[in-house]
Amino acid sequence: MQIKSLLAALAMSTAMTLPVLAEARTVTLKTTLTQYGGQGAYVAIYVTNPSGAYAGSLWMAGGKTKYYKHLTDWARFTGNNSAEVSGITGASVGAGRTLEVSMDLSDALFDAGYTLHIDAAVEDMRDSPNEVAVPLTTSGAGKPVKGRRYIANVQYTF
Amino acid sequence: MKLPLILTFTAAALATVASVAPAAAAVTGNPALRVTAPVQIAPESLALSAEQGAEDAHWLRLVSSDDDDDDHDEEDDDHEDDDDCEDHDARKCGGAKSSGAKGKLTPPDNGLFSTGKTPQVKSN
Repeated sequence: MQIKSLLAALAMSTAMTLPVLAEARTVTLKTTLTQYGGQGAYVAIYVTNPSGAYAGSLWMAGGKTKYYKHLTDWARFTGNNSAEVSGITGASVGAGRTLEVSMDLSDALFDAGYTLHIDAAVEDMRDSPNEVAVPLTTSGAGKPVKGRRYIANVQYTF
Repeated sequence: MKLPLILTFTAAALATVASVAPAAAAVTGNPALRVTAPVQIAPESLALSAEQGAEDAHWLRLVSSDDDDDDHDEEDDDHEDDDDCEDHDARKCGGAKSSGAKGKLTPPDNGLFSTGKTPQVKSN
């Protein structure tokens, strides 16, 4: 009797897990910065949904929360809430360097109207919200998109 | 005013040690405790310094950096590079440090991440 219950529980947990795994997509996001000639850049990478509302953050490059307000669009969307990037925060990125983030994202984000945004800010230099705004599509994978000020280009690959 | 008080307390403490030391030496018979003899001179000189040293205290205060009020509280005064280590591997430095500092190793449950796996980061 106990074995039957155990098997039933195992079957249920497997059935619940498999769809999640099937929806996973490992995405590598590569962001190259320009030679802007300043300190390390703070970079916020986040996503908006089809209606343009904030959906969530993917990565924050830069560890001091007091500078997050300079990532103005991200700060406006999140209420400058650093909890939004808890566990997904790393070092700032130097001029001319490349940040490469690999993550398992939900497949539902692609070809569904979601947009990837990147804000950037550098100490004693102008803030640059929405440096990049690129729709998340399967056809857009591997195609570099230019930034406006601190970001030379960004591309995502599967 | 603080320095004379501190010196007075120090002198009192040293005087206590000096008065206890001979008794301890007598009990233990350890001659090493007699090393405290020169210390017996110190309380007197310190007490004298405390009494005479109002001007000296002023001078010491000028020399000391502890009491200066010139520390800056402006949040943007420090450089953001101070505690970041962008010259190192971000996996060892930024990602791990920041995640570890927050005590959380998983991404937020915002529906974007299909698993609870922390993103892997490389920075050259």
